Amino acid sequence: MIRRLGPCRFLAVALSFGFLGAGAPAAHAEMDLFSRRAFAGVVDLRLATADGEKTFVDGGFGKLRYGGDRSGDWRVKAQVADVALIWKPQFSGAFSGLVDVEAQPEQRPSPDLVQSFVVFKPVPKSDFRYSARAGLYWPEISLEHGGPAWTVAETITPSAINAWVGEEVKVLGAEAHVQNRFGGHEIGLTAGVFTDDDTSGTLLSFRGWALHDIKSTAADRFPLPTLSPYMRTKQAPDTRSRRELDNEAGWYARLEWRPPAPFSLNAFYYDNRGDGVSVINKQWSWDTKFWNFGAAARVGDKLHLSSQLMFGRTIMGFPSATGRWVDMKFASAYLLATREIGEDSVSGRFDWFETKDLTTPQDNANEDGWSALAAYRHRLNEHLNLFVEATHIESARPGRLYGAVPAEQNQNQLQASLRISF
Amino acid sequence: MKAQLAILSAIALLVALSPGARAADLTVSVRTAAGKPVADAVIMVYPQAGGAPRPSGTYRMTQHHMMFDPFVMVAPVGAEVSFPNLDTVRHHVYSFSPTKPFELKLYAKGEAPSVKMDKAGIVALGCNIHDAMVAFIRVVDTAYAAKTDAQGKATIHDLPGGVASLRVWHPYSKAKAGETARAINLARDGAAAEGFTLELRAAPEMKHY
Repeated sequence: MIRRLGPCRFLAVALSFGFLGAGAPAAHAEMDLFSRRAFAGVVDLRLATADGEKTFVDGGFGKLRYGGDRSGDWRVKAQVADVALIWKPQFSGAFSGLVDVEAQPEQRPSPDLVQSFVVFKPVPKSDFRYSARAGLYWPEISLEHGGPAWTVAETITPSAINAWVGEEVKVLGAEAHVQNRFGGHEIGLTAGVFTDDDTSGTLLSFRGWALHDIKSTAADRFPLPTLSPYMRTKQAPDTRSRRELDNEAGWYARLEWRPPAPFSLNAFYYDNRGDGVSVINKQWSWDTKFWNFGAAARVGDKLHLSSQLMFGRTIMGFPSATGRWVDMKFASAYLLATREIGEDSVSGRFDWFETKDLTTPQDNANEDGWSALAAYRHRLNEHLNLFVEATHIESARPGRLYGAVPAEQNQNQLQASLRISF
Repeated sequence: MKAQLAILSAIALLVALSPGARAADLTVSVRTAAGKPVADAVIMVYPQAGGAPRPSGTYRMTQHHMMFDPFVMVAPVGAEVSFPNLDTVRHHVYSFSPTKPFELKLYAKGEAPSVKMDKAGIVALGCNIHDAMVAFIRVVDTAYAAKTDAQGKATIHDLPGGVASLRVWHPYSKAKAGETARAINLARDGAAAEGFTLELRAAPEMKHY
């Protein structure tokens, strides 16, 4: 019954937690469900041009949101890249919620639910503090996303790591967080359990890493590029972002250290505990595990550096003479430098990414590549930020040959984005 | 009546001429060991002659662009500090410092709840919605206190002459309780200068969004 509710299920779970919170003894003055301040939004007006291969959005192997025309020449696109409406109800001083519905032109259905969760976060009475969250959300992995609609703070396009997090690492789960301070050192620990992330690994295996700002939604499907003849009969031509197929809950944990110095470090581990073989409508349960390490530092007053390193392994399919159908290691890292210039900022990022196929050559998922990005953010006023961004990406992927595309590809993309927040 | 007036005048004259009764200005300069000026250090002078603070004026700890402003505020005991929210988002300001534990539950732009600082000490501020927001109020029980500027300097005017205790506090000072103290002997009038070298730990890295 609950499964048939589809996306409504996420909303229902989150809200039921929320109203439980609202039912707790709370001062009514703190409750704010429907005032103007309980609503926020983001509109992203985009002008983009790119050359090179067809974007994955259109079923190609292209790793960027935009791609070139049929002959690989520059193609210009103007679009409303995102419209997000966010409801931030406050049930009591400690209980709040967030429901984020977004219209992204590449997604179907659109608009759709993107995030829906409740947070219990009492005001700390000492250096020890705790909080909890439940619903549909992204675990805290990205050092780039910060806005209420999970927008990237200083660039348009997130790193390869966090673009994949945006696609395949959103969970329907519950997490608890504790932190304490010891002589100026702050240690935080988060642990969560989740369902509905069994297909995590599909895009990473069949398309590979990508750099874009399209977010997965509750009921969406991402197109897959042309599959190998070996996989074509097994896997659907698209992947559902949210599915629970084997009825096994996954888990994750995160440890963070903030010393009395201008840097912080964190380590994150994820295991969706997929069985690799449960399948409905050619949507498979993947067994995906990864580590993510993050570091953020400030150099002087104006320069911020952040970096993430992710590596893991994903496995799918039945055992065969040559191993499982897909057994792939993946790794990526980036270094982002942002310099504040008054209320504006200029950023540069270098991404490196790789996948290593451990099974038969019948389905080649090997890939390696890198990307360099430069972005400028100009703050026009409280509600308007203008971003301009240039990206260059080079990658080699033998699997492109399944779609009759040369394995090695270079691509350039220029974007301007007017981000309106209200 | 005339005799009483004469006695009072004589007492007034004696007080005025006695050592330590005249006013002096003290400029304190605070630097790191590397010679970099230290802003936001709170200078407190406790003259032997005493001098309780008299709250006057307004004390505003604003929230703007998801930050507290000022980062460090000096407020005398008894001061009513207001917390105006200039952001479009709601803030939930709190402190669990023993000096003044309080909580200003979610309030919006245009609202400015206030808290009376009734005890001397340090009040570390946070926002329960925005963890990166940090600020400090140093509540002082002396009339002679000031905060260093960007040049690392602060001047305290009209100090009584004589022996005094001079204290310097900074939220990131590595000294015990963040405070360094020394005894000084102020001349009856004129200008005096003192210098401090503080060892500071770096401000923690906060998410800058």
